[in-house]
Amino acid sequence: MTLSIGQLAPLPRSRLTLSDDSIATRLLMIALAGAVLFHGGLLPFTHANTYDAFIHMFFADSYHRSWFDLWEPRWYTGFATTSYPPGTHMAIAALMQVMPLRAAFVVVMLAGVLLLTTGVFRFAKLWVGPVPAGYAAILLVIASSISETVHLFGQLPTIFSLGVFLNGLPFAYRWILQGGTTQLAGAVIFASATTACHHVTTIFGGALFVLPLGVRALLDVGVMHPARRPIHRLTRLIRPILRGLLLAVLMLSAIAITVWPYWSWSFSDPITQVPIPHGSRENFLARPNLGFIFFVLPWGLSILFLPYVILRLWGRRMWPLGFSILLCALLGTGGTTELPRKLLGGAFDILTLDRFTFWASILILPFGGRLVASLMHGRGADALRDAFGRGMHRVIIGGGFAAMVSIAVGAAILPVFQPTQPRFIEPDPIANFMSSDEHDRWRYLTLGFGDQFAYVSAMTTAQSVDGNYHSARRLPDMTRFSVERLENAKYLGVPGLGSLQQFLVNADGYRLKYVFSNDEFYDPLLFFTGWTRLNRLQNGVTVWERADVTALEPVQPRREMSPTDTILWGVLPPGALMLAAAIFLGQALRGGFGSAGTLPVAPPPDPAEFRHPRLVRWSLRMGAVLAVALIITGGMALQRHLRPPDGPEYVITRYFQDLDFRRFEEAWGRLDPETRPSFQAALFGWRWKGGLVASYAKLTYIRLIPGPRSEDIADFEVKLNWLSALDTHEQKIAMRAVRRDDGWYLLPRGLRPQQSPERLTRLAEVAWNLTGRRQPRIETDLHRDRLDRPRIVVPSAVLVQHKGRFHLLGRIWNADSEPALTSLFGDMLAGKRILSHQAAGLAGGQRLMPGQSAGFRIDFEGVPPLDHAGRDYDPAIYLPPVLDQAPERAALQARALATGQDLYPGIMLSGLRVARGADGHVLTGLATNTGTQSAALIRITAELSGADGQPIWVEPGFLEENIHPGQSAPFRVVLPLRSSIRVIDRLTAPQIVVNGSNQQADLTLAPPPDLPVTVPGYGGLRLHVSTMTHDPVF
Amino acid sequence: MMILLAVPAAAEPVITDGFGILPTRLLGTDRAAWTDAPTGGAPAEPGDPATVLLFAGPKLLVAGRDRAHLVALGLDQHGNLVRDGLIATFSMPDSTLPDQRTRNGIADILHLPPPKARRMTVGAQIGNRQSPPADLAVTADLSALIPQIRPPEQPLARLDLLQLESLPLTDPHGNVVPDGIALDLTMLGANGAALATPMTLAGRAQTVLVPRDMQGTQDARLALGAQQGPVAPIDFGRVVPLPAPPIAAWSLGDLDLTVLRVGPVGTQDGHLMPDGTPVRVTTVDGAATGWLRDGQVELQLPRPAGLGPMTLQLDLPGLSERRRVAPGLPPPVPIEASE
Repeated sequence: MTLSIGQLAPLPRSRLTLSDDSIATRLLMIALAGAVLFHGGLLPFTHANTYDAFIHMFFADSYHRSWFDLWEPRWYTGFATTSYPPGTHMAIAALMQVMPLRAAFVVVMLAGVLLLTTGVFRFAKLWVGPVPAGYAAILLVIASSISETVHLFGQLPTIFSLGVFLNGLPFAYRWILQGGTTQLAGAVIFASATTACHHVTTIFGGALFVLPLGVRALLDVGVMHPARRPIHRLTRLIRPILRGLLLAVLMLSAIAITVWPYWSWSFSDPITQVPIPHGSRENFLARPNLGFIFFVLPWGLSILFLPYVILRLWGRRMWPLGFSILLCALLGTGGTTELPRKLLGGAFDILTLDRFTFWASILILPFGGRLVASLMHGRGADALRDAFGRGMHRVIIGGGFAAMVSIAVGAAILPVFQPTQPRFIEPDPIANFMSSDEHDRWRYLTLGFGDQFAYVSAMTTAQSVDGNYHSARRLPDMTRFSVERLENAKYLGVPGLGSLQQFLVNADGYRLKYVFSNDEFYDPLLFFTGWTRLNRLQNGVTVWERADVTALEPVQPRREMSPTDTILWGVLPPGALMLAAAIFLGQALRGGFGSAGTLPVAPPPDPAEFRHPRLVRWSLRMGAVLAVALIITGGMALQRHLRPPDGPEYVITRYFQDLDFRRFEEAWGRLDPETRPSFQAALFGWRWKGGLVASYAKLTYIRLIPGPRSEDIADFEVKLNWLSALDTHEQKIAMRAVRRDDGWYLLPRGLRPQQSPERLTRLAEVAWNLTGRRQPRIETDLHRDRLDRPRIVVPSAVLVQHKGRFHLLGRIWNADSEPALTSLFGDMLAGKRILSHQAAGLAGGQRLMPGQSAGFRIDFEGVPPLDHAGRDYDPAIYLPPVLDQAPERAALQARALATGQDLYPGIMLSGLRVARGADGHVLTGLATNTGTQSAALIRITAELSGADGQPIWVEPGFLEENIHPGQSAPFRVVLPLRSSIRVIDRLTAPQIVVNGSNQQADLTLAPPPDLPVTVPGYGGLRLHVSTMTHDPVF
Repeated sequence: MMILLAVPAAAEPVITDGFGILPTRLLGTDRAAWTDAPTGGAPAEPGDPATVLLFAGPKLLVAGRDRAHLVALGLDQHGNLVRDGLIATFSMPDSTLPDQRTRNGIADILHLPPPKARRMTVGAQIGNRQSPPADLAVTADLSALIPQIRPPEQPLARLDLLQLESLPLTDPHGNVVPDGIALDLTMLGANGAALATPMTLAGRAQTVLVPRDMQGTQDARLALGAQQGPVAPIDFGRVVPLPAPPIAAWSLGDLDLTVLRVGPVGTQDGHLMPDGTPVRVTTVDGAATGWLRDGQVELQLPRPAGLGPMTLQLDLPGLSERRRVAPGLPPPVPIEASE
């Protein structure tokens, strides 16, 4: 070309004019960068607060310790790791060769998010074209469902498996559409790799993702091979359908073969447990807090795409995907309607339904991407500008983006506002404790750790009876209860506590010797079932020990896996993952991360304009008005909902809730400003009153009974139900509320009526110290440093039946000059066959000073049958033992160890009287603390004897209040009527084994004298007091 | 079928002795000579005692009742039990124990030690080998103790806490009861039965009582195991409050409450009633409880203002009376000297 002077050369063509693919790739890069910055930046700080992260770390640690050993002994007395697909766990384990466990988890989770981002891009490209697919990838990064799943739930396999699965779907599409063994192989390999991470994704993904894609492929066949004649329209589909069926068969085979040991374990060791309650199955309208977590939050703003989905159902291409979305959305509503249960059948009670909401939030992204593309560049943008102007268009787009990001961030940092886990517990002190002094010869249990228990498990080789993966439970006690783990005992009321009590009482049977407690709630149960508080570790956790527990056998039973299963499990899942990774990288190197090749049938672009632009403009403006009205109305409703209601009932309820959660300032703020004491004075009063209810119980129910009321003064009788680790308690308190200018307040209540008479008390006391090992030798104990078992005597024991329950009870006496901690075990026999074996619980575990005697009672209990599951909550639940024969006899084993702790003698009982009550005889009196230590919890054990002086019943009672030195508190113990007790067997000497021998030399000694108190129907009454003097909890 | 073995499959001679079974090729010359292994002859006799193990128990013996069982186990240098008939000598302080002879390597003796409570070291000797010492202890015979209360001086001085103790506790052999033994102290009086747990310290059982919760004469007795001492009446007396203590009342009109200040409540012996004394006031409108501090207490009753004088029932230990009180202005807080 020749230019003359003065003529400008033509400008080069602008490099900014890009193809759609190029734009899409740039959008994908932005999405990937966003994923790294947002999710990768948060993960190191959020993963420790999630529910599931530590569980997956535990599994990874198991593979890290031994890749091919499929038996994990550290949980549930042992379980098979084939109970969970291992792909992600093995990935973490592999990375643990070069980095610590938590870092490896973060890296694998981030890799899963990145895989999911590219997977969504590739999947969306199949439906909506490259640019909308790019926006779909960005929407994924800022989706609240991803934030919730990654940063709140920690569901690594869910994220990773779906990411792998989506990257394999283009292969499936091409195979159905065009064939080609490469495509088939790719589809099957990715299905196999998905199954390696999470089999449920492949199973349900096949229906929810692949099926719509298959239909889409069939529709595209019509585009590729147009036909006029109806018969040709049918025959052209035969081969694609056959290819689809073959793909289905091969995918099912991949599901079966990749994790074959999992299926083998499932069939041979079926889950017979009761359903675990899960919030995703609840009615979200009745329980809006669960609806928020499992429906509103994961949907976030993506739910606004649903009308667009419905609109697009009438189009040619996207209706299969649309129906899949609607189905998932319906299933994700849980128990709000009956439809999900009808659709899923029995699977409803096994599956967690939040996964369907999650999948719906992914399936909807192609639609979202298309909508965003239209609103940014297409006819949607034109319509918005036409309706509202250019500026408002930007505001709407930017505001929508900001809102989605805000919700995603909020979901990720929700635990900051509403903690979901206890404070982080450093596991090293616990691991060090268990690894020292051969403590790991016994099992341990954690309480109050939340999901961090799994992390503690990963840091030690010691074994626990508890676990964090309910499908792997084997112990009968745990399979019958709907308690996901013993950790949750107090949050599920008494049924949960019943299971925990079984473990603590029968600790010897489970070789359970150590409890690490992070929650004082369990202190009463631990103490009064014979556990001793040892010390507090550096991480603030208290160690409890049960003495005299048999150690684990050196060689323990384990389930041996077949060599085939072992090799399959260790090779196939990681092999499938590596193959898929190689294919993924190969594709990325050839064509970039987002490329899945050129589609045979490209999705048609949106028309440039709407057919009825005026109608669209009008609709947009009306929609905006409606949206503004909804926002204002919703905001007002929310403000009304959040604004605390006015009224004395609300103030009283909140007051006791504040006290329950130790929010003392808030509670003080509800007291009448005119008459309340200073905050310090009020705090003193609250802290002074401790004990079983005030310090160790949680409030479960408040009921207000209105009394006389005027305009400004209202009286109420407040009934409070408290749940402690020992029992439930009801309190009745009279409260008066008064209205001031700015609302209702409560009149403060006074201090307790009994106080200490002296300001300084001097007492001489006896203290014991068991030195234990005196030399640093390899052996943990020496014969010379070990004390003999104290000489205890069980002069009599009897098997009785009372109200349909069986009990073995008697009297035990410490005839030694050393204090004794006793362990008592009873067998119910029919002939020589043992029907039931049980240890003494709350009326046992006696700590006897030299010369002391006390009654004991062993309550025979069992595990409930499966048809008990799902019944209404019953505070007085009793689990009868399953007996195929009536008991005829019993046998008793008792043994003692010297102890020097928890022997406080300073409680005096006075004013002892017995009166007739509704349920039996009522023993009342006053307990006074005459010593120098605060008695936090007090148990009074009443031993009733017959006319012959032999024990016939033992009843424990607990004081509800603590008693500081010099103070008193009333107590009340209900004793049964004599006529309600039936003697089955009076044990003779051969039936009683004490310290390993049934020859007791002291049986000739006369029994100790009874109290000068008459109980009608009985010959005598004796009382024993046991006191926990740990610092009262406020 | 091919079978792989870890070691050559071949028979070889082994010997067995107190240390176990092992192939002869691994024997040392000394041991081989002793076992006469090269010639495969009859087993040799055990050698002289090289080690004597002593098992002594029970570790805690009740004076005058429990016999100590001393068991000596003799082993030769090869770990075999010594031959029968060897003389085993046992030693125990202040005791002459007859010699015993070994049988199947074991010699034992049952012996009732002197009933003096103490710790002692026992030993055994077989041949010229002695055992390591073993520890035994003799403790007082608790079953032979009859505890008695040392009656406190009557009448009791007005005390906030009363320390009660027993007479010296010794068994028939003169052994003082060890520290930390728990007894039962039961009492029976007009207000019901009572139970405390005295513990022995320096030869006496001791406990603390709060007289505030005990009124009048209580029949007290101590028990240790099955042994019950005689009844000892203890008059806790009554802290008798002076009648008609001052009561002031005033209304909190906006709260429909009436505040009562009861006290100062004095006693007949010129003191203030002890801190912690419970007080209860009952009217037709309700009841309130509290406790005295420096002889006074403030209580609140759910009673609106403007109702005029009220009749109330005042109850505290030793005083129960009906009073008529008219609400007025809140009085100044009185300052009283305490005892």
